[in-house]
This record gives sequence, C-alpha cells and structure tokens, in this order.
Amino acid sequence: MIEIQHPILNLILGSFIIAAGAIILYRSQKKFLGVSGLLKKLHQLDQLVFFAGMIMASLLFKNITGIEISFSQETVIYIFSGLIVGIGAALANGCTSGHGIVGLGRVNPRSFIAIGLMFGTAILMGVFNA
Amino acid sequence: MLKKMSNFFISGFIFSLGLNVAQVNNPETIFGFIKLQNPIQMDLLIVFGSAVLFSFLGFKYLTQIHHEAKSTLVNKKFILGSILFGAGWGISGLCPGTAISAIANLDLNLLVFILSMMVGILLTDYFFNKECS
Repeated sequence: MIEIQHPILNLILGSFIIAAGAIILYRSQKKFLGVSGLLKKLHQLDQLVFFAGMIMASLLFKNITGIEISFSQETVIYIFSGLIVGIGAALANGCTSGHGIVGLGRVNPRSFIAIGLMFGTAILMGVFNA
Repeated sequence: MLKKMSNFFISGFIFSLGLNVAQVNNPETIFGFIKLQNPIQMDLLIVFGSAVLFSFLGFKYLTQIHHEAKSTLVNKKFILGSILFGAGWGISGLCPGTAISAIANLDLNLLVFILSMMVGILLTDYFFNKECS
C-alpha cells in the first residue's frame, strides 16, 4: 500500500517553487541550476550569493514554521555518505538538481540515465538498510 | 552587476524555499520512499515528479532553450558517479541541495555531511579537471 506523509498541497506547491528557482536562474542568467556544479565555484561572487539565498530561505523557513529536522545516524555515516555524494556528483557532472529537476525538465537523455541510476542505487541502499 | 547578484540570490532563495516547503530536505521523506516498506510513502516521488513536470513546462514555454547544446557523453565515469551518488543519497537521505536547504537546523551531522561533500566535489574536480555542465 501507499500513503502520503505531508498535505498534497504542500508537496505540489513546494515542487512548483523548486522548479521556479531553476527557471528563474535560466531565464535571467542563462545558467542551469545545479547545486553540485555551483559548489565547485564558490570563489565566484555570483555562486556565493546563490548559496546565501539558499541559507537565507532555510533560516526564514525554520524561524517561521519552527519545523526541526534531525540527522540522527552515526556521524561517521555522514562523513562517508557526504564524501561519496560529492565524488559521485562531480564524476556524473550533476546531482538531483542538475540532472533531476533541470536535466529531466529539459529532456536531456543522459540525465535520465543518471537519475535512473541514482534512484535505483538509493532504493537498493534503502531496502538494504530497512 | 547588482542585477546579476540579485538574480542568483533570488534563485537560490526560491529553490531552497521549495525544498523546505515540500519537506524533501528531511531525510525521513527520502527514507519513507526508498525503504519501500509498507505503506510506501510517496512524498518524494510526488515532489520530484511534479517538480520535473513544472520544470519541463517552464523550460518549454518560458525560455528559449531548444538551441542549447546537450551533453550526451555517457562513459564509465558518468555511470560510476551516478551510482556513488545514489548510494550516498540512499544512506544519508541527503543530497547537495537538500543538505544546504536544511542548514538552519545547525546540526553537527548535517554540517559534517556538507563539509565532506565539498571535499568530495573539489577533490574529484581537481583530479579529473573537467568542465562542468
């Protein structure tokens, strides 16, 4: 059976806002929104400002809603998984934003391969850890 | 210059806000789906699917994108990278965008993940020295 944790309106509204962020960046700057790609060039002011925006939204959302998120696994898990997420995104030239939201949205064939593999492996890990 | 900066800021702000509103920056949202335990929680799939659909419509009708070149290169590095990424995502429930959009929680584990991810990205980029797409 299937179920939904959060109100469907939040999910749809959230996904609309996510896509809007990507469309705004492309329309205004002809730049594809990919978080792992943008992280490579943090020494450039525009990339830095992008992340300032991301952090600002995070602070604002948490202060208004009071929603807390916990990351309760062993710290070593976060060290290891962070490392392979970073290496993987750099090798694949994109992550769930660049290949997912943007790549699939503009129907880039290789993004379908990347996202298929990413979801497939994540599900394998999830089922294995379940 | 100021216009450019505000475009980048607004885009980052909106993107991150969306991840928060949809609650996909909570690892439980990811685990609820990828563990495939009964009942399977569909939040991640709904958010991802509809974000891709909105993005598709946005790119199609709000931008002139059809002349943009698409990289079609799929090699071993690309495959291996996607698999490594998926494994890390599946273990932690975190990916680059969602991790940063949750930073207000000031959780040590989250900060460790982000730092570790940065090291992974920069080291790989340094050793493979590729252009990014």
